[in-house]
Amino acid sequence: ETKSASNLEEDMEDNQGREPHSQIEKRRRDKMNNLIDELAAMIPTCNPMSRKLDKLTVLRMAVQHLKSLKGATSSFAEANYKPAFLPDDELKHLVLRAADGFLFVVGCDRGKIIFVSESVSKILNYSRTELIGQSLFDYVHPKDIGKVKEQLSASELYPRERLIDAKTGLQVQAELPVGAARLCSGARRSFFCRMKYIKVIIKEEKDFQAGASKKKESQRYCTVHCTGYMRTWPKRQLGTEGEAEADKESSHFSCLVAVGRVHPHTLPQANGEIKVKPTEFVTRYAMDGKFTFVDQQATTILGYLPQELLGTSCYEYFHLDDLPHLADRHRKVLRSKEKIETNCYKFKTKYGSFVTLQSQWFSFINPWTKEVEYIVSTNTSQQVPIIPGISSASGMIYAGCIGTQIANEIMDFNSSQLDLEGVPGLGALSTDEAAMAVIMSLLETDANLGEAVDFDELHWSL
Amino acid sequence: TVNEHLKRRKEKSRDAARSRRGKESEVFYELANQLPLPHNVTSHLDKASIMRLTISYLRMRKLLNSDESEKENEVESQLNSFYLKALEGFLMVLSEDGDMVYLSENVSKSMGLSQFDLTGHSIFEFSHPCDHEELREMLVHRTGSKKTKEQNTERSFFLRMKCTLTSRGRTVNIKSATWKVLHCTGHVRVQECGEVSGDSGFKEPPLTYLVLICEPIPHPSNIEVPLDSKTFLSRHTLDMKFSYCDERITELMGYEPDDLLNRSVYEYYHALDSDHLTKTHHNLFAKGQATTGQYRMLAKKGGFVWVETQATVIYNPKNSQPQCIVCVNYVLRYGFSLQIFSKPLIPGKQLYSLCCEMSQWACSHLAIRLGRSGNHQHIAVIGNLVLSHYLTWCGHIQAKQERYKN
Repeated sequence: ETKSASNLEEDMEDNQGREPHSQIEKRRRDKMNNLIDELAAMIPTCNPMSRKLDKLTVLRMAVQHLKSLKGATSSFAEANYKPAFLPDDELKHLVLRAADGFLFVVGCDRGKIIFVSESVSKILNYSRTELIGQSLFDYVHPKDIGKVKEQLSASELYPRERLIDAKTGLQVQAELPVGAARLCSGARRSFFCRMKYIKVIIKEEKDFQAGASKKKESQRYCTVHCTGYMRTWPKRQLGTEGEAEADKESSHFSCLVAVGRVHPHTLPQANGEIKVKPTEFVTRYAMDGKFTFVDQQATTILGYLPQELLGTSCYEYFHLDDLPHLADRHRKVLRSKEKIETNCYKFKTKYGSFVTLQSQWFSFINPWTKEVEYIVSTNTSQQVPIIPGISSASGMIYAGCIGTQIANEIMDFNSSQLDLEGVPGLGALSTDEAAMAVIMSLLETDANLGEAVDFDELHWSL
Repeated sequence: TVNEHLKRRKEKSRDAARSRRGKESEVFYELANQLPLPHNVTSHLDKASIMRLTISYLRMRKLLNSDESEKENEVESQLNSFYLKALEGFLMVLSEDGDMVYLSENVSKSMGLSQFDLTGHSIFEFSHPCDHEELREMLVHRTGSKKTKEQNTERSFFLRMKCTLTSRGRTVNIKSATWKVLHCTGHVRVQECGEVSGDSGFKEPPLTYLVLICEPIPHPSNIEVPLDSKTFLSRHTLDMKFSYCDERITELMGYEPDDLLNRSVYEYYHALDSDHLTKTHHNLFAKGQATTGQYRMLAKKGGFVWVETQATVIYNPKNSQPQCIVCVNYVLRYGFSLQIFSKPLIPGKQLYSLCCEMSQWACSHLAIRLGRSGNHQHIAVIGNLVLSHYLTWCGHIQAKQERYKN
């Protein structure tokens, strides 16, 4: 029998038992009065009263109010009314408000989905009717089928063997024989598995094509955390799906009842607004203006992958109107030991449009040969950098996105081969060379070392 | 006589008081009966608790006062009761100021304290003081103007709550309660109270509340559920170096357990996850238990594997000092996936983390270039292949530099 709640409070409050009785009593009275006020605030009929009501009246109104609520809620009218603070259907709603999840019941024998809740359509984008009667294994990632089978059956699991001794932290040997105990009603399960879901993407192509909007459905897998318990059902209670599934010999049927939850994005998001600050990126030119290095940030502004620019002359991209000015600056920087600033000029992006840049140029002179080894160009653009992942529709591929794209492509197939065919500019190279080229351009940033660059937008979807 | 008069007045007031108390008790009794709780519970409640529970009940009605009552068939209704049992933990609803407006009945299975012991009280009375600040932050919900981006409503944090359950399942007095770590996940929700109350035309402001699923983290010495073959156990010293690893790791990640002994687990974390994992470790050491969420670990031959880990600090029973850390690691994706990306240097942190299968030539070449960049001091995790080559080249470069000096 549990202690009464007031004793609980007493126990918690009781500091050293030295408090004068009158103090304790006063505190109790105050608490009661506060509670009465709180209660009055909750009752609609009490609210509009301008004067404060006495205790008894408040209590009487509370009783009336609760009685009136009883009439309103349907659950109270049920024949098999079981008093609980919240009826089950409301509890279910609360659970769904807390977690993105769905309830499912699968037969242990063959993995048939006996039941799945409506909320599954919001999470996996499959309708309930599509799933009921199907095998769960059709919706689980092929590589996780074995794991789910283990969890549904008793055979290969030896939990006791792999337990840790609380005192030493060392593993202990199995004490109890593993058997059907694992499969008995009430036995709990908790595991992760990847489930299929349909991702609906609405692509919007803004600048480059006349506002066409396409809907693309692609199949993906998401990681679902399943927790639940084993339940045996008497055969006669099941519908047609169950009967086919049930063991013909026994009159009972074993199922797993579980809630599957998709956890929110794994890594904590950076809160706050996306700060728009001028983007800086670094490039290097040979004496003749040919690109010898391009910082990966350039891709978000210029659209080109670093590889696409290397070896080409910067003059191919400068706007005609800016050529005289930039040529003049170029000559100046080769002769000067100082940093030279350019005016704002236009640079042609991959897609034909122009972006406004402003650069600071500096010649790096080799101390031994005394010749200009390269020109370092620190370029600033006022344009908002395109956040990787979102603009994939427009074709702009951010170097970090390459990884995301490749990972996404390979993710579902778990192949360990680098498939570069789909990535522009890299298809022609061998795997090694291509990988090297990408890595080199990503890593070689002499000028950037030591600066903290804001890369928080790099999302990795699972 | 004056004395008699006074005496009679005192008697009258005593009688009045008694009668009032009597009426009060009657009303309290009636109120208790109106609560949707079993009679054996309601008949033992004291007055303060009756009010507490009534207030919470009414607050919950307000929060659920929406049109979510879809038509359910009989099968669905039957299954409604399964949700709670399927969860590993209990449900809790907190008001904006931290009152535990609702806790599901199974709270007693995790915490010892019952639903009606706790309902209506403030969470701050039952949670560890060092966690209060974090808790307050979780309760805040800024809806912001239409221009600013809406704040994320997801909540995930670790909270220590009073637990009166012993490891053997017995209940102790609240004074002997211990702290139990709960992983609380859920959402902040805002409930519009559409009704206009009374004739005054007074519309109530929207209610902000936090609805959470609170799950204890299983202690590794007492894991109820079977662990499948895609899980492995590991033990670490307090500085996170491996002191033991289950052999299952070999088929999942390629390492032999011996490969890992005495190596810091940080060497195997993906660069982009290391910040988050460092925070998780802080939680672990502060609170005693933590879970990591999904993160990447370097596999032996390159590539990363997605893992979720439950970590527990094991204390020496004699002196209550932390002794070691035991991790239950669930491997979520164990095919080697290739990722190429970069993260610019942040002073003092990892330089770049990359992972791919490259030939030895490519590794050496890369190592030379890294050496030239002059920043070999900050490299923590690069990828096993690259790192080993790089260090070899570092040795060469250093040797060259020495010669040059001389």
